[in-house]
Amino acid sequence: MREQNHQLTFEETEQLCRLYLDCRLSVLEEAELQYVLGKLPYESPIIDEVRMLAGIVLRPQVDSKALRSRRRHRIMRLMTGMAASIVLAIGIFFSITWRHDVAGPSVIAYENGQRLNQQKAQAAVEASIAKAEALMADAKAIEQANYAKQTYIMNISNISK
Amino acid sequence: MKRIFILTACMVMGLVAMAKGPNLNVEKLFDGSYNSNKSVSLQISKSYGKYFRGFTVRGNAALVKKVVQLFQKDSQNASSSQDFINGGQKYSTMKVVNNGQEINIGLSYESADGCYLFITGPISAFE
Repeated sequence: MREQNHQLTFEETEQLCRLYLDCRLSVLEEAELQYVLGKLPYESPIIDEVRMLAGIVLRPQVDSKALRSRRRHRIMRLMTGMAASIVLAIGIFFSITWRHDVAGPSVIAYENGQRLNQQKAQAAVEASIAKAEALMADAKAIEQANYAKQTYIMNISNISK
Repeated sequence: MKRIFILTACMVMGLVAMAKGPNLNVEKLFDGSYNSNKSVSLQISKSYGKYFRGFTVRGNAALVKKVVQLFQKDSQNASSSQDFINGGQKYSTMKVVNNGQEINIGLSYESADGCYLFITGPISAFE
């Protein structure tokens, strides 16, 4: 029967199942029928009953080519999605950077409760920035001088020890 | 693919949400309420990625006191702060880190009723 399993028709399979349920098959034939039922896709109440009695689970045949192409398709989709996401992220990053660069300088200044015109505001901002930079430079110079003094004192105390 | 788009959009939105402003107390001086104050001169500049704000007080001891209070509040969140006296003039400075960028804030005590405060740093530190 194993050699003929591809030629078994639906009716023949049902007939064999009926014989199986009537206990009219030999042990060898029962084993072969179980093998065939595990391979053939036929479904009917009687076939399903035999399958259930024999504890056979019908596994769908896996087409390795289809599986490979499905996997390839999934990888392609994933890669396309990732590429699109990267493009989206880069686009957002550049749109934010572009906003900063193209927005250009904006200057506002008030003095004595009055808003200054653009030219005066620009001059006031430049003077203020220069003052701030001078203060930061002074602070840095004092900090460095203090650090040099500390190092000098530590060196002297190390030498005297 | 839809899932990846949604995930990326969520990540981008998360990054945007993570980029918070520094919430500096001294920035309250630039909210417009001092624009018409005659004892104040202020400068605001955003130029090519750099942010600068200057605030000068002359002849207003009460306002100087307020500026000092705001500065001291911010110094609690500063990564470093220092006080200097140079040529009889007191100057305080601090650094606040926001969005991984450094903001420099300085306060110069110019007289009993006058001071000069500045805030400067890259624009990305203020967003």
